[in-house]
Amino acid sequence: MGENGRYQNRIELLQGTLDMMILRTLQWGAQHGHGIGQAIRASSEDVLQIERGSLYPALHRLERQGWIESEWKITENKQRAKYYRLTRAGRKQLASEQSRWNRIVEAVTRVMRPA
Amino acid sequence: MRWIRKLRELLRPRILRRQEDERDLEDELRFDLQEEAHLRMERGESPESARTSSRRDFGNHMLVKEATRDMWGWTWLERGIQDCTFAWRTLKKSPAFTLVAIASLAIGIGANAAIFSLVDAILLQSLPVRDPDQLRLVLWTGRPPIPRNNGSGYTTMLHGIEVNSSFSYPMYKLLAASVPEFSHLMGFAHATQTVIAGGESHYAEAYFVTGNFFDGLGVNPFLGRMLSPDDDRASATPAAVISYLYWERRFGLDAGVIGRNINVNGRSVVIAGVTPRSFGGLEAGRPCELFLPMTHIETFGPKWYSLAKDDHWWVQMLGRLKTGVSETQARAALEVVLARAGAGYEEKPEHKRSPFRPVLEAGAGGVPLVREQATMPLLILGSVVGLVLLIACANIANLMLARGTARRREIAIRLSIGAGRGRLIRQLLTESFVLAGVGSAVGLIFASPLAKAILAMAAGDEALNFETPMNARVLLFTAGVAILTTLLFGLAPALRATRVDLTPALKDGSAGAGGAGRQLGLTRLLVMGQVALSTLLLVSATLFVRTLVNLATMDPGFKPARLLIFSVDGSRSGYQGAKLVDLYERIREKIGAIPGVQAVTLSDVALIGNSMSNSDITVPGHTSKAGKPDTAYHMAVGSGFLTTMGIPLVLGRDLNDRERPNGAYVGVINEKFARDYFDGRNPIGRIFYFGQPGPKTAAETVEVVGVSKDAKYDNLKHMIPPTVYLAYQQHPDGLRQVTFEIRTALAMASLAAPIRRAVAGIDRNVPVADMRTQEEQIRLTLSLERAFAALVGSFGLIAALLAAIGLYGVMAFAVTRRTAEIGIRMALGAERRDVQRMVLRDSLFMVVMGIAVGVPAALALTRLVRDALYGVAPDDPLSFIAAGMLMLAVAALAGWIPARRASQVDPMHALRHE
Repeated sequence: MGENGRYQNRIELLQGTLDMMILRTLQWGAQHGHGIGQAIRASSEDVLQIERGSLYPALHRLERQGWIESEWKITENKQRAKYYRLTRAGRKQLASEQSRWNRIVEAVTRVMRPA
Repeated sequence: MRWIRKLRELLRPRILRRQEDERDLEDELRFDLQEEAHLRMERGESPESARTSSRRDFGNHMLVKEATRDMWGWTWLERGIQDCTFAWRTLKKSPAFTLVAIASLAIGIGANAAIFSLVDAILLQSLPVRDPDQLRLVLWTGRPPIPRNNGSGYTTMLHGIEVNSSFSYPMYKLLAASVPEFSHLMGFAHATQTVIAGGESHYAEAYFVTGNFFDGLGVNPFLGRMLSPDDDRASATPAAVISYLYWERRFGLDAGVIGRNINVNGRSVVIAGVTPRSFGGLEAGRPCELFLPMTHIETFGPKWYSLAKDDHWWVQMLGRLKTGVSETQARAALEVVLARAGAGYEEKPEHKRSPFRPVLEAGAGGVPLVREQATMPLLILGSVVGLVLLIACANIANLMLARGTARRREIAIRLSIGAGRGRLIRQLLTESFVLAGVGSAVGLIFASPLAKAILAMAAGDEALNFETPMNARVLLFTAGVAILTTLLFGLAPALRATRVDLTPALKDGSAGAGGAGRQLGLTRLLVMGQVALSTLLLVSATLFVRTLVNLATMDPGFKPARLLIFSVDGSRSGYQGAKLVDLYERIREKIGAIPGVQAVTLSDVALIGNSMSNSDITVPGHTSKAGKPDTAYHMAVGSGFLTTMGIPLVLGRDLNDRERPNGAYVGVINEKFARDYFDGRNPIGRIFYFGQPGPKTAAETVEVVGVSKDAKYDNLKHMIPPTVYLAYQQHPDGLRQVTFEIRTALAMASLAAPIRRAVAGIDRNVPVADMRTQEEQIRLTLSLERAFAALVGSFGLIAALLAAIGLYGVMAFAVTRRTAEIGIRMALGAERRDVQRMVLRDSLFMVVMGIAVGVPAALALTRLVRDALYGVAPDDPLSFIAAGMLMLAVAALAGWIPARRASQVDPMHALRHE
């Protein structure tokens, strides 16, 4: 029960941001779920560790919204994996998310500037 | 049901696709785990530790899946289906519980659906016509200055005022011509007709209607054409429209019937059309078979249906409001015209005190007579079945609580491995819902036959014709009831069951933990509630059964055994006055000659037939009470009536066939008449008059020739009124239908054929109707009382049984839980008897508390059914004691079984188990 509650908090906290980071990660090419998680972790220098309970729901949500699409492929280790790829709508969404994010960061930075 | 099909289309491929998605998700997550483990091994962890640590860091596999699945959409429905199948699997594991729950729900919900389908058919259904909401019945109230000397129609109470239904034909014409607020003002009048078609005669229920009737209602022909204003002219050839049901019964759905002539009350009438199947006139439940144009009514009769006379009031009216016209406007317009119509007459003070005013009543449901009679019985039965359902709910709630406790371990495990409480509550509620759903489905199967049976049982000789299909409204009602009951019996147990303190619950599945005391409190309250409601039902049942017994065993003052009765109406076959008397005398002679007939007589009113005639009378030497004229019931009878019926004569003589048609009128009065109006003096040879005091003619004078014992007249429930039996041959003018009464020692059935032959031998156009024994006639008038006794009685017993099951369940459960405690007590020296007494005391406490609540509730509520009772007061102590004792006995039995089991606990075994 406790665990359940924690997940829901995380999802709410990261909702828009996680989606944006996933789209951003996929900009470099198709990737499977585990790879996306690792990529976010690596590029945030281990600060952000995405829980599976947030990652997979987000992936499935984004796919439903038509921003990413998926395909089963065979990895280098000869394993079947589900790869996600940005769609055209996803690219557009990423661009608008990016500029929105920039504005928010600027604004928040101005507010938090040391007095 | 378009949406169901849509839903199915949406659902079917999705479920197939969903299985694929499900596998994909599993694969996707498994790959993630492998990849993670792989990564960790590359970082130098051992394969073993890499697998465990990656699995640990992965989180709750099931929850990840569930959260991901949530993103797919539509899952509430799929989860619902999942939950339902899971619930069904769980329920199948405890078949006894499931069976009891479904059976009690099926009884509760089925009975409610049955009563509701009657409510729907009788009270809620609109006439099958165009825009029924625009229709208004036109009625009136007050004292009309225009005299009313003859008429037909009904009087009823509407919003606390007395209203009357009929107008004179001239007044109908006036209103129809001068109130444009109604697009159609339709007139109609009911009369029974004798029809000869295909060489056989029978009675048909007919409406005489104005020419705009079918057009105004918006009823289109099923076959041929409906009546039009052209038919409603004196010069037109008489045409008739017949109802579909009549067409089916009498003409075998023969389409060639259009244009054919039939004989109605001795006149030839051409059939113009057939109504749609759904339309049978304006009175729900009493289908009309024949529609005839009103202008021809004088040639068909009865004779007080006069077109010209303004003191003959017999036309009922139904108006269709013009679009945009309010009821108030229409009423105002009617009022102006009515005031003008009354202006030419002498106005007395009472006309000022209660002025003659129009009243409008919603006409969507048609003429409300059956509705009015049925409302109270349906209300009573509805409350009864509602209570039964409530008891069933309490019962199941109790069983669910017990199950919840028994499943504490399972629930605790599911909670501790991460199931959300909301999810578990939903699962438990789904179980309740599945129970309610299956219960409703089973209940609906017998709801329709039950509704039909109740209707047949309660309607008596009035073969009420209602179709009670399980239509959308009834199904919706049932679904609503099912959902409501789910919440009623499922919510509290589900909330209670999931509020588990994990540690003790996991440590020990059986022993009493913290929540047990509270839980037993709730179950005890539920059992007490059940007992209280059952007591209430048993008290009502006892009162209704005693009412029936009082009526069925009552001495009516005459001897109904070995009497066969049937009715005949020669006036509808062309006989009148002296000719009609002659016809009846010939029938009487011919039947009297049938071997085995001991005596035969006739009367214009059947005894205990729910109809009567009464008149104001004036008795010389007796002063009536101020403002209230003396009245007497009268019955025109044939020779030897009192002797044949077994009403003992006290003084004087019985009427015989030598009473001369134009001699001095004679009558036999009953003792009540003698007591009330002759003050105990010998009334033989004295006279009285019909009508109020004033100048009298010889034609109104009656000489008393005999005094009889009192006998019931129209209804067993009514007090015996002052009654006078008159010689029918002295009053040929008003004579119409009569009932023949035949006393015989033979089997009744063997007389039917000879009697029909005898009547047909005199005139085969005179049909014999309503042939039955006098006892059957009385039984028919008691049908409502019989239905109440049977229904409330059986529901009361079912309720008591359910309460007993509930009590048994709770006590058996408590004994199981207390096995250890009982073991200790016995080990410390308690006798088996003490243990038994301890447990029994426990259950009796609940029962007595329940009865203690039920009795005052019954005292308050049985008052409401006072009118449905006879010979027993609503607070009759004997009935209360009997019901209480019955409840106590049933409950004691239910409590005794677990008590016995408790006393047989083996202390060693119980303690070792602990």
